[in-house]
Amino acid sequence: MKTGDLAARHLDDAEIVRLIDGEAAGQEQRRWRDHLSACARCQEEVAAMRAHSRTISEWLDRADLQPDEERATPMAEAEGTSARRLEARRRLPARRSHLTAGPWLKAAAIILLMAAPVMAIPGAREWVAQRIGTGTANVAQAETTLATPGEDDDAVLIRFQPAEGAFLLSISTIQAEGMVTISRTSADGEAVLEVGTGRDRPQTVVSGRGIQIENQVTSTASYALALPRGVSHVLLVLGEHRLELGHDDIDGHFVLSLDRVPHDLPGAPGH
Amino acid sequence: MTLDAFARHHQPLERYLTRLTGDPDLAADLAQESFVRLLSQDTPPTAVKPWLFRVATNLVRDSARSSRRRQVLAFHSRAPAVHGDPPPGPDFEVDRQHARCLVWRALDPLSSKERTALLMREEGFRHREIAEALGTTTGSVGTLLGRAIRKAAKHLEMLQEES
Repeated sequence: MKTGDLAARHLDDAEIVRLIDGEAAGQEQRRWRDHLSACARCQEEVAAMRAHSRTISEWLDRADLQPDEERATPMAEAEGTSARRLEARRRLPARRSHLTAGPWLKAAAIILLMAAPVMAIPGAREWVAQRIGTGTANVAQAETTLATPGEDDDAVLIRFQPAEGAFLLSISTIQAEGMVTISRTSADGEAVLEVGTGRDRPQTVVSGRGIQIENQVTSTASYALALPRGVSHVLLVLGEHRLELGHDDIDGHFVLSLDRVPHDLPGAPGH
Repeated sequence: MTLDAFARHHQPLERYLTRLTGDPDLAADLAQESFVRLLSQDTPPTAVKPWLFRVATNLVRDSARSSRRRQVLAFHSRAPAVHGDPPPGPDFEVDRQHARCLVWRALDPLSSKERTALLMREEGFRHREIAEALGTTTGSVGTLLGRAIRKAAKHLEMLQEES
C-alpha cells in the first residue's frame, strides 16, 4: 500500500502478494506492472513468491489426501504430476475468482463451438443450458456474480482467450469423456498440445495465436496443453460472462474435466 | 439454507480447521460448533462461508487459550510416529503422514495470525475477508501473507532436506 515512487525502490513482499493474488487494481496495479516489466529483480521476487506459494499448496494437498484419492489418472502420467496432487487440486475450492475443475466438471460437461450445428437443435440446447446453468451456479459460489443463462442467450459458448496476450483456445462439439489440462510450462515460447494418454501420444506445436480442438461425440481423448510462460492471464468466456484465470491457476495445472454424454441426448450426433 | 450451507462448506471448513489446529478431532468439534452457531442465528448471515470461517477462527483462538496443552500434545503425538517408526500399512498412509508432519512442523513457527491468513488464502478468501476474520486491516493482510509464505516455504525446504 506504499505510495512511494517505484522508480526509487522495489516491490515489497506485501505488494507482491497483493499482485499475485489479484488484489491490486486500477492505478496501483498499472504502476506495479509497469515497474515489473522493467525490473529484473522484482520479476525474480514475484516468481519466487509464486513458487513458494505453489510449494505450500502442494504440501497441504498431499497432507489432506484421503486413501480413495490414491489412484492413477492418465493425465497425471501425461503431465508428470502425481495423481494425488491432481486429485487434491481438483477437490480444492478455487482461489480468488478461480475456476477449479470441480465447478467445471459440470460446466464443461459439454463444450460446444458457437456455430456448432448441434446447437441448432433445441433438445441439445436445453441439455447444454442445463449443464452450463449448474456450472454457473457453482461459479457463483466463488462469489462471482453470474446470472443463470437463459435458453436464448449464448451461454453455451465456452472459449478461452488471453486477457492481454494473443492466445485463444476454443473447444468444440461434444466430448464423451476425458480431460483438458492446461499448464503454463512451455519455456520456449511455443504452445504445445498433446493428445491422448499413452507413451506415443502425438505432440503438436500450435500457433501462438491459439488453437481449436474439435472432438467427436465418442471421443475419450485427453489433452495436455502447455502454454508459453509468457502467456499472461487467460480469460474464460462463458456467454456474455467473463472470468479470469490467473497465473497460479495455470501454473497449478488447470484441469477441465469432461463428463460422459448420455446416450439419449437429443440432438447428439448419431442419436 | 443450513443444510445447503453444510453440504457446501463443511468439508472446506473442517480441512481448514485441521490444518490450523493440527488436530483432526478438535477440527471436527469446532466445525460442528460453528454450524451449531449458524443454526442459532435469528437472521442468517448474508455471506455464509466467510461468516463460518470467521466464527471457526475465533473458536480456535478461544480453544487455544483454554487448552494450549491439548494442542501441543496432539501435535507431538503425531510427529514421532512418522519420523521414528512409521506404522505398518500401505505406502500411501506413510506418505500422507509424512506430508502432514512436514506441513505441521513448517507452519508451527508462524504466528497465529500468519498461519490463519495463509490457510484462509488457501481456501480462496479475499484479503478483505481474511482481514475481517483477523480483526485487522486489508493492507496488513498482504504483509502477514508475505511473511507467512516466506517462512513456511523456508521451513518446508529445511525439513525436506532433513528428511
